[in-house]
Amino acid sequence: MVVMNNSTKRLAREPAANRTPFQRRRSVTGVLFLVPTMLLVGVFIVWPLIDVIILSFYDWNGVSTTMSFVGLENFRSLTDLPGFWEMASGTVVYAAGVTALTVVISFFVALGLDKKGKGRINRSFLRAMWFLPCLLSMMVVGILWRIMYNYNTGVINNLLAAAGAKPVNWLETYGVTRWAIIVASVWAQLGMCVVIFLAGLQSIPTELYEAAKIDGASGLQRFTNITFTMMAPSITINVLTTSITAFKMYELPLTVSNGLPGYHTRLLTQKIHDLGFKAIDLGRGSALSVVLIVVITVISIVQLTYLRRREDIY
Amino acid sequence: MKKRRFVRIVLGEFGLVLLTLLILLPVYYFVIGSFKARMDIVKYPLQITWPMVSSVGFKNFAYAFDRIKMFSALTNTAMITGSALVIVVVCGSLAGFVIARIDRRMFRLFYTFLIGLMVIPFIGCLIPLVVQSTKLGTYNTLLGCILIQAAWNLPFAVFLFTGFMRGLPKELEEAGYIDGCSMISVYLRIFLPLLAPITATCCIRAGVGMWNDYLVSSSLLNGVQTPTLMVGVSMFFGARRTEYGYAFAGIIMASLPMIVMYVFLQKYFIKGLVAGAVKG
Amino acid sequence: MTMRRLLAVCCMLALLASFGLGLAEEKKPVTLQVSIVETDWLDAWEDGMKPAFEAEYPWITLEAVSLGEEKRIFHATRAAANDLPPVLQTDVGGIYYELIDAGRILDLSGYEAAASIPQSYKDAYTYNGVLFGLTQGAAFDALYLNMAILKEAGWEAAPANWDEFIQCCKDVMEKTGKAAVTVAGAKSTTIWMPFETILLNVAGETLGAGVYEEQIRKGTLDVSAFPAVAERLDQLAPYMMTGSSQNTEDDVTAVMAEGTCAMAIAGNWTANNITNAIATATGDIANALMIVPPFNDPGKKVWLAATPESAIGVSKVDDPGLAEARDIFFEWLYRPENFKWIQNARGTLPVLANMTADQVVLPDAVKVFSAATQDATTFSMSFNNVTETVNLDIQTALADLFSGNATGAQTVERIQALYSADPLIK
Repeated sequence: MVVMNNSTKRLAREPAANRTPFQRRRSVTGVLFLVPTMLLVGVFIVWPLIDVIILSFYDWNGVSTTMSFVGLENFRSLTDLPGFWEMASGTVVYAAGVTALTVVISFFVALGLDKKGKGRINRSFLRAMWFLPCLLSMMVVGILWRIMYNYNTGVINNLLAAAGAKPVNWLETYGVTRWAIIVASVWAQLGMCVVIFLAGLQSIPTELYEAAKIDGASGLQRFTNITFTMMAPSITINVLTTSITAFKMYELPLTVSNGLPGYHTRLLTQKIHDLGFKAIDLGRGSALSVVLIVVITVISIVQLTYLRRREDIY
Repeated sequence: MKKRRFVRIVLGEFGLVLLTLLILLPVYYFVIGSFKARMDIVKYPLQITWPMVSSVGFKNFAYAFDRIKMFSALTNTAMITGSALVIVVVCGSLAGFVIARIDRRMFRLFYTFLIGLMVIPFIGCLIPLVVQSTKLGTYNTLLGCILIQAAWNLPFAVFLFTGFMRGLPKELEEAGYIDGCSMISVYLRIFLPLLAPITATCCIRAGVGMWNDYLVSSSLLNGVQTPTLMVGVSMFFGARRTEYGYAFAGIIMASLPMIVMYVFLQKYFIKGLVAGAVKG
Repeated sequence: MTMRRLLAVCCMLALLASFGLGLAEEKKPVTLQVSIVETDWLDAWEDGMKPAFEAEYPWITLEAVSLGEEKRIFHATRAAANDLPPVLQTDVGGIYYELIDAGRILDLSGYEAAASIPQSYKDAYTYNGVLFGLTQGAAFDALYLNMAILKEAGWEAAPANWDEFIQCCKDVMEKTGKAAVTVAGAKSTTIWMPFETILLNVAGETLGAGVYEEQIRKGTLDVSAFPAVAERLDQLAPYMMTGSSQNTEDDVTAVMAEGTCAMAIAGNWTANNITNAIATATGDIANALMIVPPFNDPGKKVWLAATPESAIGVSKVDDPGLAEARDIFFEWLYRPENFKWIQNARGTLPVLANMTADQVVLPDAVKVFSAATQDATTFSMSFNNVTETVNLDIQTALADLFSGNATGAQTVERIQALYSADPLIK
């Protein structure tokens, strides 16, 4: 569904009746190859997922042995939660912001880190530096940024003061705090995207550039026609995974801003957590999980369709 | 012309280094913090004042090492991450191979289905997973943790491997089949050696998450006989007080093996350049 | 030399004796998991309590398992796995009530330890007739003052009532340019304090002891009947230091230590940290004052919110050997000579009635404060009397107030709606 490359598409599909014994045997072996994946995923993801879907129609406190069927009530009552729409729209804005910034920045950083040659600094060292933030857990990154954003004692305001600027109330201002958690999340995810882009850049055959150079293509032309085109699969991977990670992000924004001010930076995952573990209302928590899954799926499908079309153009 | 090029390189490098330093500021802050007393981390975040540092010195590290029970925590975490990564790479590359190289509708459907699983937030499934693992008898075993970690990282691994293998030319395996190789030997002899870069990417991507995991191991491993690194570190984050110094020191020690792994794998995937492999 | 030999002989004898005892009792070794240890007494636990207990009961090994901010997740997943730690921290509401209903957290009335806890604290931890936790300490709201800054603003003594307090805030801001008052808003327990202390001093007299708590639990409390609450919130909000709604208790300590803020409303359990911070800022511990928040009207008595802190309870276990170990440990824990480890590591007000004066080591500031609390009328803090979700939503509303994003009237309206929508008693 995703990265459909030319080589696969060239292969014309034959009707089942026309398959040779060789092809049929290959399919059987193929299924055998997939068995371990099916088993693992089936038992540890699909099974609990089905449980979650079932739970979303029940009222259950996580402890008692009985649960009562409530139909769609759990879904309906989600909108009664204080600040529900703010949390929902906030989640979408957060995910969009993180994805756009992370992918764009990491693309250019990867370009910079890919260049080698005389007079340049050792690349593997620089790359390792860029990757360092990714080695920290999300909770730790959150705590770090929380301390740095502190209005009175935080590093950022200290630096602003040193530069003669007025301090910014990073964590208590509507509009600002959302960007504060986005920046922290981008910081945490950049390195990962850079790695994928670097792998993509290295898979571009150098002959392509040499040929283009001989044909007299300018630097910009070479960039748009070769680099940008050949990087399409990496862009797809990064956009998709970054947005999914952002939608599922839980610890980092929570530790940075605690969901404040108001419900401005409280993400749906935090609410799932609150409902499930603090309110012990697993039915509603599961209903919200289901809603979130549906939303992410729809958005991912839209992204994929668009990005795949972009890959196909070239 | 040459001079202009040189100036451009120097400016570019300067910008890159500046950006790198900016990115590293929080890391610097973090490392410095691990040598400070608790309140000094909040009060004097960026200063390296030697008297203050020397008053704490490596005490934070010694304390955290002791409290986290570093040796057993490291062993357990390494066991979980290592085994889960092996499972992820083996299953993921096999599945990617089948999906990318056999053009059948059922495989494409299965792929779509797997990609769809990537969107599920883990936190929502936590309680059902715990209940399930008590039924399966994997509760409080390393095996249970390993399987869950492997399963939840598998869809992304399949995604990576499939994408990568679709990019390899079709002639590769055709030659193999003409020579009369079976599918497994085509996979083992022709594809596996080419997978180094994407395996490295996959290991880094999935490995970091597994290494830093708190939720799975704290909910599925019961207690201190099988400690893991992040569960140990979480001890310093209390309801009333956060021991920043100990936590930072603990996290730095816990992250060292990951840094080593990254440095090692980075060299590996630069050497096994994709383009070179395809040319040959 | 002889001393050493003597020691060696003694050790041998002790070893033999313990071996003999072990044989005589034929105790099967058990590992007892406890989920009670907090960061502030982690050291006391590892270095003092655990070794002491294990020396006394060699067949029991203690294992302290995760606790901390994610306590509720941890206990919820353990409950789902049917593997609750035999001794665990309990709290009001949420998973704990469900576990009591399911018979998995047990009644403590039969334990000797329960006798040494004052009745009011036991009442706070009784649900459906089950005493499900014995508290670790008493928590009070307190106002910490940096007298050096107050003197600079022309205040030789601490303010004695609400009007003086507001005037004092004003003077501090205008005359010293420093921030007047701060609070650890990142935590629901502490951000409730200024709000609830205002509410109590306005409404306490009308409602009376017992009624207030009951109304909050039932969701029938009508805050809007007391318009003075919104007024006073509006009076206080402008003097709240910027950033207060996102402050952790460590952040509050930091600003007090920098001497950039004159006063802090915080729990008595942070007394050590904050008074030391004020001493750091001013060079003299005498500048640090800890008083009952003077939010009373002139000439009237002070009303104060107090609560037992997180309690420790026991859960049902099937293995009789483990159950015995659990009971032995629980009784051991609440004996004054052992409990003093927790008490003194935390520096909170003592709750055990049978603790002797020499077992309690309190910071000076807390001693003065402790005496003052005797004169105040105390109510049970409300965050213990509402559901966890209401608690979080009220925290959100108060954060908006103290960060200047909402008015007092809006805040009261929001809190009112939350109280009545999701009461603790259904």
